[in-house]
Amino acid sequence: MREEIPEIFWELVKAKFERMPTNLRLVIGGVGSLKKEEILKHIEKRDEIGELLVRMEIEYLKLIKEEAESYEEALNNITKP
Amino acid sequence: MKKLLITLPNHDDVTFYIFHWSKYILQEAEKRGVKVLKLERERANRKTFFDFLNSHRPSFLILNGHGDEKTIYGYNDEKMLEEGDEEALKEKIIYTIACDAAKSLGKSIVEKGGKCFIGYNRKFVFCMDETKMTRPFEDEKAASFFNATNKIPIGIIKGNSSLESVEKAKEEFRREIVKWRLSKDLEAPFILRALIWDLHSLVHLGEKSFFE
Repeated sequence: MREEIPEIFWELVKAKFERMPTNLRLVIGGVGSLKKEEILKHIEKRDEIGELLVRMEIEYLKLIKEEAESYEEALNNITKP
Repeated sequence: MKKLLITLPNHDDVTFYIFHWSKYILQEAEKRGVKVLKLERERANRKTFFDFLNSHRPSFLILNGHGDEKTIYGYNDEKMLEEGDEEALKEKIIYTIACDAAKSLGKSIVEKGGKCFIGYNRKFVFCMDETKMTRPFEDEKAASFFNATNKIPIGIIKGNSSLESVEKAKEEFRREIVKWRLSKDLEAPFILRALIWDLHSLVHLGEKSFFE
């Protein structure tokens, strides 16, 4: 399963979490509350928690894509003669 | 008299937050005259849980704590409920924040006679502000998650159906998503992603049910 995630996503998520403010903790049920440096370690290790974070990013991007498509569709309907 | 049972393990920072944010659920129950069977800290264990189920017969169970696909854990992460216990949960409404529990355990409970099971079919994720960790109610980052998920038990206590309550929780998650999308806080992108994840993980299994 983990091999299926393209390297670009791992890099993207790592870059994203490098910008996470240090006061914020991400709590993952069953795992605990993670500090920024712990999150980055999971991403570097490409482990199950790292994979969850990549999947969170993919889900976010999918939502943005769907939204953009719905705006595009609405815009096309308005501009049709 | 309507009876609900709630487990509140409170043994680590995650269960500490859940313990505090459950206050609003308890307030609503008190307001509505619901008898609350509270299993706090050490009392959130398998033996006490089943003793209470048999002697008080609550119809609504709120199970806080950690979990996995087949188990919900109590105090100090000791097994409290697992696959094989379905017989004791017939005709119950069950809501849990425990991770992954809806995936296998929830399905099995509903297939074997549970009224409905509401929970998360993946890991429940939330954000907390380290500077507010001793004062959970002041943590507006965590509030976004708990205000949303608490709509489920609070809605059911108020007399809404289980399905309506889940829909209200989903609406609240969506409102919070919009709020954090518009926020310029540096924490916003991380909170946003976690909220989207939880929204997509929340499931209602079984029939539309009312707390009776």
